[in-house]
Amino acid sequence: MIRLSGIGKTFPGAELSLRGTKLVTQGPALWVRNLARAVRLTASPGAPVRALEDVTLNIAAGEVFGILGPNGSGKTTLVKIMAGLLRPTEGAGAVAGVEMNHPQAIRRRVSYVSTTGWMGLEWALTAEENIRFFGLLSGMSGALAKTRTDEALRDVGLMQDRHKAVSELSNGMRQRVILARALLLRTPVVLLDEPTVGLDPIHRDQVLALVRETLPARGQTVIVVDHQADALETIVDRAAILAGGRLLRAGTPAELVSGLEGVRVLEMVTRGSGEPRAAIPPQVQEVERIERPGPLGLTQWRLTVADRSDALEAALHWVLSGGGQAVQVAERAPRLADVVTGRLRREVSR
Amino acid sequence: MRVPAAGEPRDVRVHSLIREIATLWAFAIREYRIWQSYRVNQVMWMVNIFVTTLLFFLMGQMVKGKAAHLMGAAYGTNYMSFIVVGIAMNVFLFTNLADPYTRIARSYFNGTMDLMLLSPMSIYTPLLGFMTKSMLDDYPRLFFVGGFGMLLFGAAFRFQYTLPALGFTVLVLSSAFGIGMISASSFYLLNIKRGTEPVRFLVQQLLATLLAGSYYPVTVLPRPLQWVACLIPHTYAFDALRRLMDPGAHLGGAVLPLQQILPWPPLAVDGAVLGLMTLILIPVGLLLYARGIEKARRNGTLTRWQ
Amino acid sequence: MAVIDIQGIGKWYPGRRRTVALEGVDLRLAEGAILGLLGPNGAGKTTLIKILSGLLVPDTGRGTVLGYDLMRQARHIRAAVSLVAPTADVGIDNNLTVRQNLVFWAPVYGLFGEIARRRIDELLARLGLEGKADAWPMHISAGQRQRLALARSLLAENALVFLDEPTNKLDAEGIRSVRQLITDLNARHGVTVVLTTHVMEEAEELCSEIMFLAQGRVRRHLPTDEVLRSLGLVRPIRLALDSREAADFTPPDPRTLRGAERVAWGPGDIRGRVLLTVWSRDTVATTPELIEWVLHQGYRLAGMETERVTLEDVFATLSGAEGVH
Ligand SMILES: Nc1ncnc2c1ncn2[C@@H]1O[C@H](COP(=O)(O)OP(=O)(O)OP(=O)(O)O)[C@@H](O)[C@H]1O
Ligand SMILES: Nc1ncnc2c1ncn2[C@@H]1O[C@H](COP(=O)(O)OP(=O)(O)OP(=O)(O)O)[C@@H](O)[C@H]1O
Ligand SMILES: [Mg+2]
Ligand SMILES: [Mg+2]
Repeated sequence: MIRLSGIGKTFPGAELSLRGTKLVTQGPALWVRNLARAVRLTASPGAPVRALEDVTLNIAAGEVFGILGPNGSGKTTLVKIMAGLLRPTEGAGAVAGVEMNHPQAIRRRVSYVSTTGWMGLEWALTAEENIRFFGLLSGMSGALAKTRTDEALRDVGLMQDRHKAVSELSNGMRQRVILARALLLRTPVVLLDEPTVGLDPIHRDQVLALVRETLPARGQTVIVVDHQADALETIVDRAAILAGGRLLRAGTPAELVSGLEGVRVLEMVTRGSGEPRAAIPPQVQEVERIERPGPLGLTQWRLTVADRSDALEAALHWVLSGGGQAVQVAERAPRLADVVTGRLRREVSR
Repeated sequence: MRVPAAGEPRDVRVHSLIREIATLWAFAIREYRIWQSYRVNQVMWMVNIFVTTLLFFLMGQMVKGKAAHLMGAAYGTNYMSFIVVGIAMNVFLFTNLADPYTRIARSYFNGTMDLMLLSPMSIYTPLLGFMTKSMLDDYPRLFFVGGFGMLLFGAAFRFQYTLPALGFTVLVLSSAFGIGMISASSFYLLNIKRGTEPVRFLVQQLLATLLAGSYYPVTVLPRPLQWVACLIPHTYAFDALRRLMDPGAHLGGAVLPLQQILPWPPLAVDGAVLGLMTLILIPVGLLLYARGIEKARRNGTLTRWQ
Repeated sequence: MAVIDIQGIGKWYPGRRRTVALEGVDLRLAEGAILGLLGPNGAGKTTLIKILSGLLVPDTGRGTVLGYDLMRQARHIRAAVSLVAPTADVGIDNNLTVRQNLVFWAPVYGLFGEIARRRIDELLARLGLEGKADAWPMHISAGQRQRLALARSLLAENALVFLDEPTNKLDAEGIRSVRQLITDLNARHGVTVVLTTHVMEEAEELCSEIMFLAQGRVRRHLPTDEVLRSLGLVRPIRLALDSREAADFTPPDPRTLRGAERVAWGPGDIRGRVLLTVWSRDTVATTPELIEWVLHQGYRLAGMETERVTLEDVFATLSGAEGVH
C-alpha cells in the first residue's frame, strides 16, 4: 500500500529565507519571494535541517503500522511525505498505488490527522456540522454524509457533545473532532499523527481499539505515530523506530525487541532508600534511578538484569543495601517501550 | 532560582513602573526584530509607501483644478500643502485608531493575549506595546509624504509655529488612540472576533474618509454633514495644522461650524475640542477595555484554548 | 497558610447549550503540594485551572489564591502564577525565534541582563532545546514546541504553577526531564503545583494528592496512596520462590502481613519452585513485609510481579460508576 525507497528530506534553510532572513509566505510576500528567487537574490542559505535520511519502508494493505521515535526524529515529516503534503528531497515511492510525484492524487487517497495546530476546524460550527460539512465539501451526498458523520462521532465517543460549537469543546473533545473528521471519507490510507494526545484513558482505549479493529476491518491501512510505546505495541502489526531522521529498525513488536533476549527488566519503587552500599552485582546490567523526593519520598528504579533465576534477588539486595523498603517490585520481559528509551535503544541502534 | 514564598505578595508596586517600561521596551525590540527579520517586508514597505503616497498625490492632482478654489482663504494658497497635511495626518490617525483592534485580534488568535494577561504586566501594556510597531512602520511615512509633496509636487510649509503644531498632533493622536481603545474593547465587549468592527468602520472608514476633509475643506459639504464632521477629531486636526503650517494660511477666520458659533479664535476651538475629546475618550477607552476583559473573563471567551 | 482555598466554586458557560462545567468545588491546597487534577474529557479540569489562575470568573463560590481574593483581586493572582496551556500553540510568537520568544518575556517577569540570559540558557538546556534556539517556532517539531511552551511558562519563577497536560507530545526522555523539573521545582524551591494529565502513571509518580473530577463535581480528593486504597480493591502479588524441596514449603500467614487477605500457592514448572500468590488490599504495605518474610525464610526470590491498584483503576471505577459513559 505504501512503498518508500531511499526517502530523504532536507529542510533548506534557504527556501524560506532571503540572505538568511525570514519571509512571510503569504500574500504579496509570497509573490516577492518567487520574484526574489527568479532574480537570484537568495544568496546565503541558512543551516539546512536534515529531517529524514534514506528511509526505505514497505507497508502492506490493511496493515496497522506504528512509527516511534524521539522528538524531532522526523516522524511528522515522514507522515507528511506519505500524505503528499511535503515533497521529499530525494528518494522515490508510492502511496496507495500513486507515485510520489502526483501529490494531488495521493491526497485524495489518504486521510491525515495531526493534533498539532488548530487543524482547520470552523469554530462557530458545532462538532457535528464541522464533520458533516467536510463530507459535503468532499462531494458526499447529504444522506451519506449524515450517516457517516453519526458513525464517526460514535467511533470517537462524541455523540453526547456533538451539538457543542468547537469553541465550547474541551481539549480532548476537540482532538476527537479532528479524528472523527478523518474517519469520514474511508480513504485507503489513514495517517494518524499522535491521535491519543489529550484523550482520557477511556477514550484513548476506544481510539486504540478503533485503530486496531475497526479501521482494518474497513480495509484501511493505518499509519500511527505515538510516543506511548506501551499503547502502540498493543495495536500495531509492525512498527518503525526513527532516530535523528534515520530508520533504526522496522518489524513486528517481537522483532523489534529481539536482540534483547537474555535480559529482563526489573521495575521497583522504594521508600526511604539511599545510595546502595554494596558493589553492583554482575547480574545487573543497567541501572536507572529516579528520585522523587517530594511529599511521597519515593525512588523509582529500572534495572536491566540478566535472565537468570538469581538475578532478582541479587538486584533486590543491592538496591536495598542503602536502606529503605521496596514497596513495589515487578519483573518482566522487555517491551517496545524499553527499546525506545535508555541504553537498550543505544544497543539496538548499534 | 529565586522563588518567593507562597502567599507572600511580591513587592508589586515598587517595581511595577520599571517593569512596565521594560516591558514596553521589550515590545519595541520585538517589533523591531520582526520588522528587521522580514527583510522583504522592508522592500514591500518601501514599495507600499511609495505607491500609496504617489496614488494619494495623483488623486490630489486630479481634483486639484476643482478643489483649489474651494479651499477658502483660511488655508492659504497651495493646494498641495493642503493635501500633504491631510494625507500625513491620516497615516497617523489610521494607525492609532484602527490598529489596536487588529493587533488585539491577531494576538488573541495566536494565543499570546491571554498569556500577556496572565503575567505581571498591566492589561494596557500590550495595547501600548503593539503600538510601538506603528512607530517603526507607520510614523516614518510622515517624512515620505512630506518629502514627496515638497520635492515632487511643489508643496511648501512654514515652520514658525512648529511647537503649537506638535501640540495639536499630540492631542489628536491621543484622542484617536482613545477611539482605538474603544474599538479594541469591542473585541471582547461585543465579542466581535471577526469581520467588521463597528467603531472603527464608523469613525475611520466612513466619517474620516468621507467627511474629515483630507482633500477638500469641510465647507464644500452640506451644512448638516459639516456638523457630523465636527464629531471626529480628524476635522479639528486638519484645520489647526493647515492654519499653522500651510503658507499663506490665516490663524483667524472661522471655517468649521463650531468655530462660527463659539466666540473664540478658531485655533482655541480646535484645541479645546481636541483636549476635551482626549480627556473623555482616553478614560472611556481604558474603562471599556477593562470592562471587555472582565466580560470575557466571565463568559469564558478570554482564551481560545480549552 | 493554604496556597489555594476555595469553597463552592461553580461555573456554567453561556452559549448554545448551557453547560454546567463545575459545581460546588471545594479545594484547600497547602504550600508545597503537587495536586493531580484528573477526570474524563470535559470534566472541568481546565475550567477549574482557568478560574484558579484568574482567567475566568466563577459563577458561584469564593476563596483565595496565594492570599488574594478570587473575585476582587484576580489581577494580582494573574500576575503571580504560571500556567502551561494544554496546547503549545498558545503563547508562542511565530514571528520570533525560540530564544527571542524567551527574551521577550524575561523583562515581563522582572528578569534583566545577565540574569535573564543565564536563566534562558538554563531552561533551553534543561528542555533540550539548545540546538533549536535560533530556529523559528514553525520549523520545530511538535514536541519541541511543547518544550518551548514549558520554558516560557517556567521563566517566571512563581510560587504557584498550573500545568495543564504538560507532557503532551513529549518523547520518553522529554517526559522524564519534565517530570524531574517539576519534582525539582517542588522539592528544592517549594513551588506548589496543580497538574492535569491523562497519563495516570504520571499523576501517581508526581502528585502528593489527587482530585478526581467528573461532570464538574469532585468525586474524590485524597492523598495519592489513600486514593488508591479507597477503592478497597484486592490485588495479587505473585512470587516465584525457589526452595530445596517444594514439599517443605510453608506459606506466610496472611494475618502477619499488613494488608494481606489470603494466600494461595502451588508448584512451579521447574523442580523446587513454588508459585506463591498473596492477595492484598494494600500492596504498598504488604510488599516490604512479604519481601522481608521471603528473605528471612531463606527462599530465593526468582520472580515477582504485583498487579497493583493504579489510578487507571480509580479512573475506570469513578467515571464508570458515575455513569459518565
Ligand atoms: N518546516 C521546517 N523547516 C525546517 N526544519 C524543520 C521543519 N519542520 C521540521 N523541521 C525539523 O525537522 C526535524 C524533524 O521534525 P518532525 O516534525 O518530523 O519531528 P517529529 O519526529 O514529528 O517530532 P515530534 O515527536 O516532536 O512531533 C526537527 O529537527 C525539526 O526541527
Ligand atoms: N468556552 C466554553 N464555552 C462553553 N462551554 C465550554 C467552554 N469551555 C469548556 N466548556 C465545556 O465545559 C466542560 C468542561 O470543559 P473543560 O475544558 O474544563 O474540561 P477538561 O476537564 O479540561 O477536559 P479535557 O480533558 O478534554 O481537557 C465541557 O463540557 C466543555 O464542553
Ligand atoms: Mg511530530
Ligand atoms: Mg482540559
